[in-house]
Amino acid sequence: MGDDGIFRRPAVPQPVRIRRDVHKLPPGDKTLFWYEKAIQAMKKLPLSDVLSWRYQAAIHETDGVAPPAQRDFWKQCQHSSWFFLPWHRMYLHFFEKIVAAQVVALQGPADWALPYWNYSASAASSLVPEAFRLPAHEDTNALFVSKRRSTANAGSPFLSTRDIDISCLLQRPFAFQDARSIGFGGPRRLFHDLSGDGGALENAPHNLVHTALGGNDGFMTFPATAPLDPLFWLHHCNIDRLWEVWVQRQKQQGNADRNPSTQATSLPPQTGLWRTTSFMFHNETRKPIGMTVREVLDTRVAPLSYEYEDTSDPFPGQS
Amino acid sequence: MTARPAYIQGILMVALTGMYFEGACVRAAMTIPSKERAMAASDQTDAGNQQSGLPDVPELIVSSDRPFLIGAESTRLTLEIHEPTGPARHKPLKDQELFLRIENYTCDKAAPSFAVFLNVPPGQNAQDRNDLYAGSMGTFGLREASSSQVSMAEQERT
Repeated sequence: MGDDGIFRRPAVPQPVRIRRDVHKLPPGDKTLFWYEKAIQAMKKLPLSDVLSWRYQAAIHETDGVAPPAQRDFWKQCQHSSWFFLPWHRMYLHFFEKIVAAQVVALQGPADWALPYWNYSASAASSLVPEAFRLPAHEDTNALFVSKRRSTANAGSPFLSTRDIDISCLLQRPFAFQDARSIGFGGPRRLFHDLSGDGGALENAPHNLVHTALGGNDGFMTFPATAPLDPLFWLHHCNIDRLWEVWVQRQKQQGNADRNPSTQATSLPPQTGLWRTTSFMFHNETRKPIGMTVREVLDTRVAPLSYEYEDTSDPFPGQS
Repeated sequence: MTARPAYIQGILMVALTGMYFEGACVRAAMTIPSKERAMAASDQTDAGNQQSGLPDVPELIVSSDRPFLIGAESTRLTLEIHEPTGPARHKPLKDQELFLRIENYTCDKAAPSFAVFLNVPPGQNAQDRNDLYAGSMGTFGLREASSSQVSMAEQERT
């Protein structure tokens, strides 16, 4: 326990988990089997339990005012801001640890990791993976939700090439604050605001896939319900992966503005603010934990300790 | 949103096309881009912006004169572009990088995403002219943001 009364994780090496492409999981792979079982277990927990499915969704957003005890934990999602990417990376991390703990409790493997949905890879990969559609019954398949566009749940194409365009990877710098550049990661802002411009990655494919999958009244269309769709987490896992692809591209090209960081020779004060800003979550043992942006800039080291199956550059040689 | 027009001549025609969702509409305004905002930001450049080679002070060269509604059908606007006379006057317009901003947009129910096309000839379907596609407007969270903007405006009035 720290001086501020907040539990902090020990800095010990952890095995690196591999987040894999959901459409390339080999036959017989149990990743989605265990994901479904864990969600079933989380759905049985009351909303007041930080490990419950609905509590995890409320961290992102919820209708109405958060109860006093949850004021620092609910309605925390960061959008239209340069915290969009780091906050969602933290959100995924704690969610993944909670699901993984459920998997272990259900006698599953210890190395469960969240898969990602790379809808931009091909026409086939843009379809909703079968396990999230069939069986099409919420009582028997926790990966299925009826609150999606019907074409998506029918296994038909529903994403346009514009929805899944990833030319956002060609944008620089990371952060913007005026009309000169759309930027990759978002405008410099303090706490979240759903209005206004987001970064290139947030706008597309992030926003477009949300509304394309949710349609008129589906879960994914609204921030308060989006995390209730199990595909939300795979979608954001892909957004997080694209951030990593972008960082690797900047390194390959020798660009200093890969993230707001000490790479730049002349640092505006806001850059330090970005790296030291922290957000609160609960871990898999229900302990509250603060995490700073600086802690989530390298996915391969603790506390994150994961990497993606594929972070290859889709635009090699193109600056 | 911000989009980069492939090219702009004397007249810019903007077509905004809803991808699906019937009945939803969005109220929006358009600028290319805001001079006031640009001036305010001109002393806050960072290493990234300096490296990008963008001019320090952009200039507003046109804006819509009133808010407009975007619905499921294609919405077309025509804007008359002026040659820059302010900070951007040192280069011909054709040699400059231009940004199209659709801003302050709101909705009161779930809205679709909108595709934005430039200079689609009259009588042609914008969706058939992918070569004129400029970008897409996402609307995730727009309904919630719109209600919070209304709420803030009401608080300011009281």
